[in-house]
Amino acid sequence: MFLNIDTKEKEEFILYPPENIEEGDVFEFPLENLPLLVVIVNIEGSYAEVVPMSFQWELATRYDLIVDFEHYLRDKWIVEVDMTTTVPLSILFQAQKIGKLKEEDFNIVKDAVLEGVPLPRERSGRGYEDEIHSKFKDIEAERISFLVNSLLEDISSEDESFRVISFTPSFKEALEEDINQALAASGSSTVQDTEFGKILFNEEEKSIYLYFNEKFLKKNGTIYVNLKSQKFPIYKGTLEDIKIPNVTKEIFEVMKKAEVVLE
Amino acid sequence: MEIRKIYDSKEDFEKVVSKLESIIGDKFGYLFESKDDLKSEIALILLEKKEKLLKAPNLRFGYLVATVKNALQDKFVKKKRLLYCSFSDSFESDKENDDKGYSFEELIKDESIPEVVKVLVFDYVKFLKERLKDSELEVLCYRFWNEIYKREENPFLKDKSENAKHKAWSRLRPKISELLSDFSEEELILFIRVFMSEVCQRNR
Repeated sequence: MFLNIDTKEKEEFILYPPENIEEGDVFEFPLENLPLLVVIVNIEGSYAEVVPMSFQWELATRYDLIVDFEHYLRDKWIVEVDMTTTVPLSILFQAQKIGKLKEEDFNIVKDAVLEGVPLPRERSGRGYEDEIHSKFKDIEAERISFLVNSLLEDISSEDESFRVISFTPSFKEALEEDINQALAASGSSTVQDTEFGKILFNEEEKSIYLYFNEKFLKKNGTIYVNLKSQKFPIYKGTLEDIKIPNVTKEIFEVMKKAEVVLE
Repeated sequence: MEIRKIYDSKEDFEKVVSKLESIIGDKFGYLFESKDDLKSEIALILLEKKEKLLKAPNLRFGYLVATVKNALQDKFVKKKRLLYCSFSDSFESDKENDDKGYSFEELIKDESIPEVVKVLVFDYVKFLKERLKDSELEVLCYRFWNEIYKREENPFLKDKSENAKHKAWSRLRPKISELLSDFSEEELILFIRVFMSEVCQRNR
């Protein structure tokens, strides 16, 4: 059976959503160039503080903890404490849990992030303000920008009665690839009635809105999207009206088949 | 990509190894006696990492390329002594792509260069910036420009006579010749490109 290894071919990917999210977990986002690894440091309500990791440990600054972490890419990584970002928990469903940081390492990171305790010298890099390191950090900031965006989309939502769920670029790509051509042709309406309420597409905003009916509103449940014929969770928790910003009509078509399961 | 497939089929495995070799061959080929030796090493790396790769949730071919590059770097590029990167070929023939330098940013992003090489080049550039006076740095820019852009008019030290330029360089040379002798020819070219981009561009 010959494998078609055309590196220019658009690659499909399969997501295995996490069962639960805990501090110390390392999550991997499948980005186009290289995966992005983050470690969960602090969970509060429906937000989590995450710290990105990089395998370019030779470029470590004094805010980067050098850790041994086995991964096919490399076995030594840095945990970039200065790049800590807060994200809505829901975005982590679009990543894979791939392991956990060693407890000792996690404690050092947690102290650094939450208490500002400096990293041990023998476990971190040197320098920070010089050109080399600041350029490296600029590039890292670019790499994690989609995480920062997820928070911005969340907090900039003017109407506070909506909970915002952000889809990462990879996830949107996966949804768009999955769309059934026939489905695309048939759907021109921007409203869909479902068992749990209504799903709307706002053409102007390019946002999807989910409105729950009485049976579902304020209950605890999980929202699933049908992706590659598996049920894929995008949210777990108290069901409030949802807004998904920055999406296409194609994604809305896929969302029409969303399911909600109460606890 | 379905990574499982490459471990189940000999033909698929060989296809992947060949494809990887074709991508990284010109930057890492120098480490090996022959193409076949590089291929064997790539095959070995894929086998060593089989367990981890099979567990990888989403493997794209690009990730596999990075995996192999990192492994080659970690196994073969020694930390104390720079091994040369084959920049000279692409450098001379690529006049269109000639951006007259190679910035720190481009260097960091270039996945084909081992991290240890990047750090050493940075350190040397920083070292020179700290130790040399502005006038001496200009002399270096002048000298490096001649080294690389032989046919073009040199914009540095314009207001000096030929004699003065020559004297300036011979005064400076002993200061840095020991440092520069640490580099192989190809490494030197990389270093010069970065130096010119980070130091000389600004002063033009």
